[in-house]
Amino acid sequence: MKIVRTLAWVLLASIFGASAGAELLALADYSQQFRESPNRAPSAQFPLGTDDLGRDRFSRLLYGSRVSLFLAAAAAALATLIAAAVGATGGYLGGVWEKTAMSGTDLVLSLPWLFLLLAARAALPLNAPPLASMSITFFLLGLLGWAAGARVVRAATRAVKESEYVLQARASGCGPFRIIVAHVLPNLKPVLIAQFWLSIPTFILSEANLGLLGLGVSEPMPSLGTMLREMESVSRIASYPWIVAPALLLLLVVSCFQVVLRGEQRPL
Amino acid sequence: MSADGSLLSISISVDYPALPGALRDVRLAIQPGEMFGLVGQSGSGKSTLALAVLGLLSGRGGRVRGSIRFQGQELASERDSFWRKLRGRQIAFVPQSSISALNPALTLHAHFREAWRAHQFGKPDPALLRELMESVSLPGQTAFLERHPAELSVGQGQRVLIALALLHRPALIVADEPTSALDVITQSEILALFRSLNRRFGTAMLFISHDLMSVGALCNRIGILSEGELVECGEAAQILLSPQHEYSRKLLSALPRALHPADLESAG
Repeated sequence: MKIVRTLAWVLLASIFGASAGAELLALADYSQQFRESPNRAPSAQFPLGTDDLGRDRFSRLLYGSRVSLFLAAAAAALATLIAAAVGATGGYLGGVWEKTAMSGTDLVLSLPWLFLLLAARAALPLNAPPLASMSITFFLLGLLGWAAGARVVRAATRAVKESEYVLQARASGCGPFRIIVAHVLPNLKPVLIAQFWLSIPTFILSEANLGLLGLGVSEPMPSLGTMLREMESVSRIASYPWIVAPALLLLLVVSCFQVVLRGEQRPL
Repeated sequence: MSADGSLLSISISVDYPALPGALRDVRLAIQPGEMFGLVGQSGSGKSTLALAVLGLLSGRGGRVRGSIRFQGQELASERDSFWRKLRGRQIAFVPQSSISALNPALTLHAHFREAWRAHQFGKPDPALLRELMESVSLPGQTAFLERHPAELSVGQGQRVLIALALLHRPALIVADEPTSALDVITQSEILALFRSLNRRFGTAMLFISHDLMSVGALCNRIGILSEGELVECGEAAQILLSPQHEYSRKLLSALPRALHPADLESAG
């Protein structure tokens, strides 16, 4: 098991390192078009072939994974943080607090988030740089993506609230805020970590869907989401099997994190 | 102290929504530095009484009627924020099971830090922690304090709970079945520890147990609780040698013959 964990660490470090150092490793700029070589098969010059516009898919994957891994992770962290705060407070305090928290959660769940994103993006200047628009997209995803997680956290908090160690903490004179922060949340670590990792692929895919409406990461900047859109047609995958590389990379990253985090958790 | 010099003086009835009359007009008083034992079988209302004395019944849906006077002050009608200032600092709690009463996600040091922060700023002085741990016959080194509850034996866990209860030098410790999860040898060690701590710090104790012999060995006075009523209360020797109430006689007759107090006295 230790070997698997070490391997997962090495792979993660390599993937994050490669995406962070995309400028050094990429064979071409992500937007450079080799007009004479569109839809090329993998070769020494283009390790993952080229897309319709003749852009080097390997270079785009390096830049795209940087965007997706770092920004989706940041959005997932934001969503998990809000879910933890709302779910744990509502679940622990109960009564009117719980009703308010859950009503807020239901409200966010029922919001037409697509239109909200549309409105938010429409409010931005049209010439907003791709990095700013992309950051705002992921920030909004994080800000709107916490509600389902809050319900899970609230249910887990209610179970922890009835535990003997929370009773013991109350008997020590600890107040509700300290109990939530120091006693409840550390015990919800597995739930919060699961929420975090579940959110990342969701946000990457949400970003890909938004891209279809021109709201995601805008061209020519790549992201795993926009690159996944190449896989929309099965016949295209049959003709160009190497276009599944972004999906495989996403699967690899999520699996590696699962292995690493499972090993890090103390047996409770 | 109250007018009669009692540290704690209660006269209460407790109702749960599903169990009205869980305690019915229970009256008892504990003097400063006194070891008071409360005996009764499962379901007699012992733990309800413990939680009532700590002001923790509302969290379990219980409703207290009557009077709880501590150091001359009436507490029954006080809000939870007032109780919180007393819990841990003036009235401490030692629960039954160290396995479930210590937070699995926290180190021992974090337990002490949280119990300290409930009433004081900053962190507990390492010298104080060392002294406290040594007073309950546990190592006070940092390496031991960095352990998690899962790394302790049940007896060690119980000692940690006692040390936690002693952190703010309370006037009263409520110990709810603190020895019932322990083997006979550890049980006698913990009883000896309670006795020595009572002599050393002059801390009064409400010792709750179903084990009449443990209570008899430790306490000056004993109360017998049956089906929510205090059926007998008096000096330990009087209860053990000539019980007046039928239920007390039944409890004594349930002891193994070799341990019967009257026989022990005639043999000794």
